[in-house]
Amino acid sequence: MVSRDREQDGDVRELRRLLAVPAERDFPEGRRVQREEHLMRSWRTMAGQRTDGRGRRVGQRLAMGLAAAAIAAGVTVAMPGGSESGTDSGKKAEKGTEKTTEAVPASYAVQKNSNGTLTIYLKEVSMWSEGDAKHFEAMTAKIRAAGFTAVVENFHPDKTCRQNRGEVMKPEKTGDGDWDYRYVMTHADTYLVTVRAPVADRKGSGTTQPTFYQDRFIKGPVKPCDPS
Amino acid sequence: MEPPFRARIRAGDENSFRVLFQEHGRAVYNHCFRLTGDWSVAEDCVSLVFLETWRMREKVEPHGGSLLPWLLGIATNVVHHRRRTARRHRALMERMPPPGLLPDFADEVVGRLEDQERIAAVRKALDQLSRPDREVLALCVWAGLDYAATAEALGIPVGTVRSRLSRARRRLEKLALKNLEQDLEPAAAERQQTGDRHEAVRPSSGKGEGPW
Repeated sequence: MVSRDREQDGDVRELRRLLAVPAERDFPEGRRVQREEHLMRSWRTMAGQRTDGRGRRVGQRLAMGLAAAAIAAGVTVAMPGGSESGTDSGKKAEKGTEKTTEAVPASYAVQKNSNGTLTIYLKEVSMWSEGDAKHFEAMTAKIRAAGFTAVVENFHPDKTCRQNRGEVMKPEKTGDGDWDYRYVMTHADTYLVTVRAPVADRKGSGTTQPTFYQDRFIKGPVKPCDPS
Repeated sequence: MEPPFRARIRAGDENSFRVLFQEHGRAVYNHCFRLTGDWSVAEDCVSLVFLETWRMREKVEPHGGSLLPWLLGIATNVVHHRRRTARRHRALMERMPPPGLLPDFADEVVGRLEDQERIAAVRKALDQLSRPDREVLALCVWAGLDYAATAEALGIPVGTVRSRLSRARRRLEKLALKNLEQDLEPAAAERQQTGDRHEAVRPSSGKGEGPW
């Protein structure tokens, strides 16, 4: 066995010689800390989630599927704040500068500003864990109720759009302790939510992947879907 | 008494995960770079690997040595199923602050671009191998895992690691020899060949001008 290992070591040496790769590097300046902080926040967010895939998938499928069906059907859902979701882009704008309060744990807040813009405050990733669908739906409704544009698109699992739907707005850090990020929308901008229907597992295990949501704030109007 | 490190990882202790990242983040980063050929993609892969690590923490064996083979095994899968994994963690990844906020130093940037050119050439040769052979090679030859650790990372027998490495070596040597022969061929044809003669200058335009 020893001689065989020596022979194998010869393989490694020779392959190292044939395929010499660049020397190892560390993360670019500052990014190691940035990634570490991001991971710490993400792990905390994921901490309450179960690690066994099937139980979680089934739960998500049920919760998200129901909400997605509501969005897809354009069902009017009464929201705790008194506004309504639907296809109307919002006739009544919320007045004042008070942040709206939600019956569910506050993961976001919508605030109308005196200069006619709308600020959306978000908690770090918290809204993307449990009950994502509910938050997407509620936030869409709030934005619409404030008189701003929110677009919800439902896609068949096989259909994808090319990524360029417009200039994606970057979040600003608030640094106030209450909220982590904020977006400031004008009436020209769009809040875009993409909902993809559940995908059946190709391996035929009977499971499906949960409904997939993605949201973005687009500077200006959203470009039409360019299917690929 | 403090539970062993593996037990804390299995229990989802955040600080232990932080230590795991601090200890092995660089190795995972370089492994991802060698597999993807792009430093910035490798950075995102590292995040995905450690998110996946958290998700799969209960699969860690309670006893054993370094968790690096386990991490590199996950990294290998993440790179291969990058889109699917990214979709799973997209919401978390989108909350990642834009990397452009931090300065890039010119020398550093040039060095990284040279790395990418170098690895592109290597990957071209590597494309001649099957994916299983490439994975063994990346772990054993580049990441420096021994056979047992490579086997653990990929969930295959040690003997399979050996045979894949041997096969990769034979294949690459054969290809190198073939390329060498091809490079030598034109030099062997010293005398004029039929049909190999072309005009050395352009035809005159008829106005007494030179060919240029």
